[in-house]
Amino acid sequence: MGRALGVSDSADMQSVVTFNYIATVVTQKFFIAPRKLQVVGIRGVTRVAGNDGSAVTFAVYKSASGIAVGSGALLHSGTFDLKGTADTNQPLTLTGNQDSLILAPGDSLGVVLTGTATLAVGEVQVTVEPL
Amino acid sequence: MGSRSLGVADSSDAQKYVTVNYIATLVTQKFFVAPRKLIVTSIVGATRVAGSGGACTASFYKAASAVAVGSGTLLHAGSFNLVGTADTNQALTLSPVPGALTLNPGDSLGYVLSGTATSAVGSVTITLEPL
Repeated sequence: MGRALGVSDSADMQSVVTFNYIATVVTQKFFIAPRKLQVVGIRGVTRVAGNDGSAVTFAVYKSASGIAVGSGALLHSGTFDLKGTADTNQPLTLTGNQDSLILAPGDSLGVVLTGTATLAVGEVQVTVEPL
Repeated sequence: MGSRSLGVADSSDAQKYVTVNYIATLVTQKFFVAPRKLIVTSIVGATRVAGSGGACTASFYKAASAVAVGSGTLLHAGSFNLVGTADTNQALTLSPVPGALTLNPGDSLGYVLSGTATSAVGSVTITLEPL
């Protein structure tokens, strides 16, 4: 939604963190918060759908320094499908646990990969706002 | 850096984030070109998989157009250790040199890799604010 000129709102301060992946992707962190932030949106899109025979998905987590990605807090229901239709947005439904969506300074965002990402190309975007 | 007071904007509300997600094939390169005057306010990274090819570090520079990364200006003391403990934040101490952290329009951010990044996976987040 575009802002009304002269009328600021919190969306004016949003930042978008993008994780671009190719077939060599592994479970990893991809952003470290320098200040307190809130996750307000997660969506992704495949450019090339993976072609492994089994399911291939990402789940997006937050985790503190010293904590592995998958040991952190899951930020949404469902998963991002790396075999989804090319160039078609997949918005993820954020968790109802608001505390899970708050990043303290030093907390990371990361993805946990399930399956094998053969041929997969795409990106996941996380929108954050300052608190 | 404190959280904002509601209704009282400050420069940190306008922060933007640039992330470098790397795998073992990374090489010395630029990864961001400033579209306007910006200042670097933090650099923090974490390994997901520590490199296994011996000592390996990355140093972050700013460089003008047509200037190689390593011929630019170093932005911090020390270096990011690609062989560091997995999932554990490494915050780099920013340069105190006046002007070193300011990017003019067209200046790039980049890193210089030292060593061999065998098996290395990780991410570095650079925080910028407009000037």
